Amino acid sequence: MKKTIRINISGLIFNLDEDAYGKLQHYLNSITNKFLNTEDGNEVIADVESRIAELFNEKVGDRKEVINMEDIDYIIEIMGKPEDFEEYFDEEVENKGVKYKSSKSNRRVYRDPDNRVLSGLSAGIAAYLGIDPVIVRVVFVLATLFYGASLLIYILLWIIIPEAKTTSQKLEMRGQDVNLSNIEKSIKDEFTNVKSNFSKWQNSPSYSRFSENVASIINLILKIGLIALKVVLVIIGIYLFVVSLGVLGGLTGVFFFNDTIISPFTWNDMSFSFSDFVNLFADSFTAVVGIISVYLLIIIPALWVIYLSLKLIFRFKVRTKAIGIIAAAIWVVSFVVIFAVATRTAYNFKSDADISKKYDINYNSDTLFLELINSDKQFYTKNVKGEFGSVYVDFENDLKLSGKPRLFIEKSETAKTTIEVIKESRGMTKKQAYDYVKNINYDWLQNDSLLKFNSYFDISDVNKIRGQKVNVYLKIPIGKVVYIGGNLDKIIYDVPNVQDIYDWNMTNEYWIMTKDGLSLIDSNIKTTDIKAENIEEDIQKTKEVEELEEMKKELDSM
Amino acid sequence: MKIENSKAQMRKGVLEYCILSILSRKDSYASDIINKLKDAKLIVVEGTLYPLLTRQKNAGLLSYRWEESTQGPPRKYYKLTDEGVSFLSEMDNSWTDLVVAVDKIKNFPEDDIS
Repeated sequence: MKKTIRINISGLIFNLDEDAYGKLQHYLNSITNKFLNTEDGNEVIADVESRIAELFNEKVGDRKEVINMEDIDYIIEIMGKPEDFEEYFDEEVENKGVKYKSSKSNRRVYRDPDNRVLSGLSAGIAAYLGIDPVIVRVVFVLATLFYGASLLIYILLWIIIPEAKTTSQKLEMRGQDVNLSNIEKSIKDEFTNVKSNFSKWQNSPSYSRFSENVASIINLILKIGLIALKVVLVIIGIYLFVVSLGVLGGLTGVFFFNDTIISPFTWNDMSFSFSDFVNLFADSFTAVVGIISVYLLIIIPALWVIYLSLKLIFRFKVRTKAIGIIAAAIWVVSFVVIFAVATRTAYNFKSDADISKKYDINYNSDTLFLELINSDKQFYTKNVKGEFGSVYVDFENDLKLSGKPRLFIEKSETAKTTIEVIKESRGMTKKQAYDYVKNINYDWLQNDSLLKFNSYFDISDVNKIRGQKVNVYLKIPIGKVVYIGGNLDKIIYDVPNVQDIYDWNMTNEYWIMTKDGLSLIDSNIKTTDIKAENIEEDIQKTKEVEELEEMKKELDSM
Repeated sequence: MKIENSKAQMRKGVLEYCILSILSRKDSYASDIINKLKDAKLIVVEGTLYPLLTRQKNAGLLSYRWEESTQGPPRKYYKLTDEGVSFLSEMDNSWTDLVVAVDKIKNFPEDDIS
């Protein structure tokens, strides 16, 4: 069984088997090389091709459909070897000087096995570009510093670009130098061709034949369009290549390194590794799997774009189609894996547990003073907040986790003042949830009638977000006075009070516990304060405050 | 000096002359010319002919027209131009001269050589 290739020679279509195609191509290339530098080259080649088409036609007409090796040998026998062609052309070639030994625009990228260091890829690219392989190698190695993006591309190219095994492939690999001046030259050549063909056509007898006119005009437009297209495609290719290289490097940096040189994943100028971030929610193994999957999900299309852009810039044959199918399969798998990881991560929140501790507060005055410490905690002051329930992520400090406690001030059912601290967390199992609860550190302390509450609870030991919560219930018996210090509005939560004052207006005031909740001592002052315009009333307020102070002293002395 | 080179040099000049001669009788397609040259054992492969035809055409000795073919692509039929005709008649003359000259030299009586 053999693969056949369809070719078009002089406007006729033939099926060739693969070997025959290779041989014919090599043969025609050699002839093309011989006549490349002569004025009449193109015409001779066209004549030769036309004759070959005719001979093929005879062969095919007989009995069979596919041209094989024997037929090609027969053709070469009739037409003669490339050396025979040259016989009558020596002089002219010598006169003009052989400027280009190699074939025009037939160059392909192969891996060069003769000059290899690793895979021969650099040598092959260098041969294609007509530069020293060392330059290509240095570029590759330097680009590795860019998060190893070039390493990925190197491997990709190693897989898809075939090695130059046969002589004709090696010739194809070396081909004519594709440098700027040659690109320019080939474009000029094309134009000259088109122009001369055009003038020939004008002089030819077929000028009058309408159908040929149309064909020629279309041909001309196509040729000009083709040149423009080639240039545009190469430019697009280079652009796409640079962009996807950036994406590749940037993503690799974000996913696996704590850096974001050109990362699209910055958070208010803060930088952090995406993998660390995912680790906050998922357990370590799941996080690794998830991150690799997300990375593949993005990187595979990026590599595909790089492949397309290289296709636009260079000519090369793809060694195997399997790589594309494998990549697509990996992509689909990573998609499924991401789904699984997300589900598994959601299961991290399945069970919940809490630990509750109750403390009696004994103090020697009638008024209890409440104070907040560490009120300058980052998540109260900075705009940069990563808020996940009560848990905050410190993006500036290695993604350290802390949480915001809630302080409830309620009526005590007994005559005692008590504090109840309830720590809660979720986890995959009850036990796991308990472990997370145990890792919640929350401090408060009593100094006689002074109660100090920390503004945050700390969970940086495990540093996982599991919906941790700390609720503090301060229970005050009826008739007791409490002073809510400044800044406490940051943690008090929905404190019921007779005056229905919002939490954030409750600080720096004395409150007395009643059966309906806290009541602002002398609510008139507060209301007046809100009106805050009447000077007389202000003066009165001062008096009343003085009276209040006295009252307090009396109370204290009792 | 290689014998092959000398032969090629001789054939080259003669070949051009022969092509013109063939075309002077009848407009021909490359294959026809080749067959005649092959019969005369002047050439072996077709490849040698195409560059020659193209060169002669570009020198103004030949012109061609396209003709449809049942066997494949349209064929180029070559024809002598006026210039070609006069070129050929000069070649004819110099060929006759040449043949006479060569004959003469080859058939000199032995005693005359010294």
